[in-house]
Amino acid sequence: MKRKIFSGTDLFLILPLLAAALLAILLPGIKKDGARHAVIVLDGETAADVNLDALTGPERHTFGEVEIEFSPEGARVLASPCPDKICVRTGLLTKNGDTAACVPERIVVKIVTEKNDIDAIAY
Amino acid sequence: MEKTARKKRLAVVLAVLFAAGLLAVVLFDAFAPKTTPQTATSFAMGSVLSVEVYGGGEGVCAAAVDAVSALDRRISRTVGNSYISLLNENGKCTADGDFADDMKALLSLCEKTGGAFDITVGALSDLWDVGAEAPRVPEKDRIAAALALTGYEKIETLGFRFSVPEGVRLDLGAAGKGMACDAVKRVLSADGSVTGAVVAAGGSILCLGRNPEKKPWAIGVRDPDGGANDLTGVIRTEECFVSTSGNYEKYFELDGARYCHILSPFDGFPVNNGLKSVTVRCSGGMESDALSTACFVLGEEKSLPILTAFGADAIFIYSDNTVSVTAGLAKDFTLTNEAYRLRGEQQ
Repeated sequence: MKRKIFSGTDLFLILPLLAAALLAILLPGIKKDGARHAVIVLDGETAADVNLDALTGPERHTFGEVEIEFSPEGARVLASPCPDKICVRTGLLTKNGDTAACVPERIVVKIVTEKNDIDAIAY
Repeated sequence: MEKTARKKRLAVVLAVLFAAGLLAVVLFDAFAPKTTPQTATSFAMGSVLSVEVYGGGEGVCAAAVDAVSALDRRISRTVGNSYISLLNENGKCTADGDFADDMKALLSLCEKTGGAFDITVGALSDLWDVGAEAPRVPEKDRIAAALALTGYEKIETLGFRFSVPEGVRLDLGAAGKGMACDAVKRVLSADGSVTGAVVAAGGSILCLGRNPEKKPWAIGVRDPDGGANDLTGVIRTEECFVSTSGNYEKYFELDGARYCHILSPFDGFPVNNGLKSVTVRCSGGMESDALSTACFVLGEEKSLPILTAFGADAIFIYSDNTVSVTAGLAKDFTLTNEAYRLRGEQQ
């Protein structure tokens, strides 16, 4: 008599374990990233919080004299009256924690998601 | 036969219970609300001050920002009536106890680094004015004159009274952001209910207490050739202070040469010794900041005994894209940028 590899009862045992293992692998990656936001802090106060994942194309906004572009790809400072343009040269901010700061104009642009790989950057 | 069937049923029940338990843990981890930090972003010492605090009482972030603002008012060169401004303008000041303590610690650092970190580089900084719109290389006699006004030994101390000869200019730019991290640590520690915090005063970092994600704090080390958010590697660490000094943040280029804002108190010129940056990890903010400058000035070989004396560790990034890491940091530092390689490794 040919014997089956798994009986019906065995499948009761194996399937829940497989399902749990699969979810254990997939769920943290799905949930923890969350939506990417660009947070604008002007003079110590949050001036805007833009959900980048909800955008369909680039949008330009001005905060004081600083022009910022938000897009599904990220956020960038397009123009600022500051002399050294460090904020503009920082370029496109895409990852969680990416920051561009314009100290003379007292404005900070930061990408924020729930996932937190890097806590701070020493420079 | 019935005994076997009972065993099998028991195994199925146990397996289902185990799977349900596993699922519950996974779902809880994925969907439970994360510990949300209290945060504040402000400006101090010509840089961004970012404070992220886990736990802590209401207003703890504001108190931290206030502490840094208060420090800035005492030590800034550009704030009128700060102790440093008074010393630079009048040649003398009578300070409060906190400033006197800070000055003693700063002068001790100057001495222990053999003058590689020197808080009297103000005349040289003014002369070079690296951040100016049209910077230029000053004439040699002017550099010599500014160098003659440099030297921490020129500062006279009598209790809370400090004085300097005419023309000597103090500049705490190489230690101020680390001191800001110290000031924040004092506030957060006094709160009593802070479980963890990450503070960035410009590029000087304080990691305090425990990371709520139950893993070490991750501090990125900036890629000197990249953008503000590009990294050479990552330090995974417990509570500590981290500071970096490099030739890429403020500099000007002329005839193919780069002149950075870190000036050698020994020859009066911007440091140009084959290093792009030095990152120091240690147990004090002022120390980490001052030591990163001193090590950048001295180079790796001369820095090692000083780092050992302070129980500090460092990462040296060279112009040829090699990276040297002291023994205490070797297991905590991960190189993440393929453009760089660790010294001693095969290409």
